[in-house]
Amino acid sequence: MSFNEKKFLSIISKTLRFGVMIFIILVFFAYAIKQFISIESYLLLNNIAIFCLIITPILRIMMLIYGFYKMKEYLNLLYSVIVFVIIISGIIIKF
Amino acid sequence: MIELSFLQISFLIIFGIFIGIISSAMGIGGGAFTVPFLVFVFNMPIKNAIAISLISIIATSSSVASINIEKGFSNVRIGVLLEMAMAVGSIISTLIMMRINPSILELFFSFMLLPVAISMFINAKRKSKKENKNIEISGSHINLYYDPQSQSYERYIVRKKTLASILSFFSGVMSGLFGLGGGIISVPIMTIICGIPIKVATATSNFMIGLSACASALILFINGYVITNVAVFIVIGVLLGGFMGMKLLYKAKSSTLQIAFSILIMILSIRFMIKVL
Repeated sequence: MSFNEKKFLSIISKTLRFGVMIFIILVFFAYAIKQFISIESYLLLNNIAIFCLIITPILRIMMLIYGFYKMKEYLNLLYSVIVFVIIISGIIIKF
Repeated sequence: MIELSFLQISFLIIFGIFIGIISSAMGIGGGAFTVPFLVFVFNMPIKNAIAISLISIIATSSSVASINIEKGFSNVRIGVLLEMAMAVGSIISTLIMMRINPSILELFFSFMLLPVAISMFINAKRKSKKENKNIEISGSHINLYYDPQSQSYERYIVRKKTLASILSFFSGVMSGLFGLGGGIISVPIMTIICGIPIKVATATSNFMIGLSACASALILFINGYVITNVAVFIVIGVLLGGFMGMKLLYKAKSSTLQIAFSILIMILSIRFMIKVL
């Protein structure tokens, strides 16, 4: 495995872990201060945590786009861009 | 907001751990268990249960895939190729799910699972033949992965990418309609059609189902289907179980995984039939 491939996979892996960690931090923070904040604020924090978790795969796709671009794998780059556009289109359709 | 007792919270977390273990070991999302659990135990409307199931799938996919990718188990390139049709399938099916009753599609799905389960079971029982490493196939790409079980590097060639990519649409449909990850279809697609080793297929499926679930979950989240304070506790359990399940994936034999997966598919097929009939 070349260094570039290793770095590429490492970036993807860290992006996924980042999303999960943000979720965990927000959830535990919300639960820790639940006694000191309103129910609406607690729910808002939980909603933000869930939203961060939901968009983690989207962040992963963006990192894939970046990684494939750096590695000059333009066909895989195209596939990743198509996936990203499909996801965004789904949100726009429902809005 | 649903007010949860300590017992209910504990129950959600323990169930989440169970889902996390089987999800990471089998390369599936666990939605086939999560949705009935929420509907029958918590009396939750099925659309809300599907939304929460999809979020738990994102959690297990993200946590397990982050490890599989670093260890080289997941084939990221095949994953991206199959995700195109999968994402389209997820979005279309979610928009439909929000409008119609999925019982008819469940029956169709139950019949579709049976030949897949039987084929995988037969495949696992059959003695595997050594690949001729000198064979060069035009347009193919030889891939490598390290199998901890055999303690050696295994080679494989991905076949019939176009067919697999098209069929992945149905994997996405499973995600949007029933709150499943779609791994129940994508793993057999990768093993039977593409000829990818089961461990790589499982790991790649774990990688893919997160995006498929994301496509559906975003739409459902925007439209208010997610009951947040139930979702967070299931996800916490799933994350804990996910890491435990990874140990099983590394230690289990490939054929054992295939047999276990085929039995799981048979059980799910019968379960769907009973539910609909």
